[in-house]
Amino acid sequence: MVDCENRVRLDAYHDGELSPAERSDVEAHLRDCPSCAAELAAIRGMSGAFADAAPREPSHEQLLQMARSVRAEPSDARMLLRLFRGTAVAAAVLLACALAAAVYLSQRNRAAAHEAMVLDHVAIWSQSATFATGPVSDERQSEQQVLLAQWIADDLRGRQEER
Amino acid sequence: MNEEELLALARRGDNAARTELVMRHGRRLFGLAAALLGGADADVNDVVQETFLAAFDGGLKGFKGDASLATWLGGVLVNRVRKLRRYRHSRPAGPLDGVERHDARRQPAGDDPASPGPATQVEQRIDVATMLDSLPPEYREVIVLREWQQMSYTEIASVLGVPERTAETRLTRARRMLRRRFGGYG
Repeated sequence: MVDCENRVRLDAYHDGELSPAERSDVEAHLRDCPSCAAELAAIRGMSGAFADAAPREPSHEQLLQMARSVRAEPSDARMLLRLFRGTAVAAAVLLACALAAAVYLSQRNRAAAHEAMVLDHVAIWSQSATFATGPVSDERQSEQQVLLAQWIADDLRGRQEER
Repeated sequence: MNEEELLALARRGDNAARTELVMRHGRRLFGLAAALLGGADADVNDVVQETFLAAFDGGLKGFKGDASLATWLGGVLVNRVRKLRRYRHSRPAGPLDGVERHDARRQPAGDDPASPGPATQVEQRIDVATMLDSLPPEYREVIVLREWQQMSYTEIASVLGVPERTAETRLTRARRMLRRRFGGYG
């Protein structure tokens, strides 16, 4: 039997893997070798045992669930996603432009307001200097100097804020 | 439409083709995964899903139409199971709870598998799950592919990525191991 084990392809015979000529040779051998005949019977018995104990098959619902889980991303959804991404980028660009414009306009308005305030002060100072009649009293001169100092201070503060 | 065309459609995102392929091959792949991992293994479903996704979205170009799609998918699944085993640090496969268990009234393992058993052996029932659990993974694979997937030696070789003669030798050895460990049958 030990010799037969390496020489006779009993498993291939059982599994239908031999050519007709090889099958004939094995069958001739089996008639003369009870050990190999028993071995073949054991192989058949084992295959029968496996056939009777096959794993349970998945249910139809389980297969449908599997089919759902491997679905491709729908093309409509892909298109909507692309559209959404494009819109989001455009909206972000517009928002950035609007913010930049708002900052620019705000700074420009503040500079204009400051300029207007300085011009007002100068106008008031000029007016008071032009319409002053007679010699300017010390009290009035002092008021004008205080006023002038305030304008200068305001002007300097305005310039600092602009920076 | 042949399966190669169906697979091409599935890869382009055609969900009808995907469903069709799952319905055609899912049953067999579930059976294979359950047999290799153990029916109660929580990863059975994941392994089958990964196999389909690898075929549809994973860029696998191995299928040329020279082997059947069933064989090719079987090979993909076997590789997934092997990766999972490596991930689990090569621990032995779990029990086959999805497999119908027979009475385990085995006779003690005999050293001489050649000796024909008594007539009562014909009635002896075999605990198939226990038998499979006892085998190293490469022998378990070949037994499952032959006995439950009914694959030819050519297909087994293709799934396992080995020469046909190696597949046959492995199957012969696996059966001998089982006979020596669990006694004679037939």
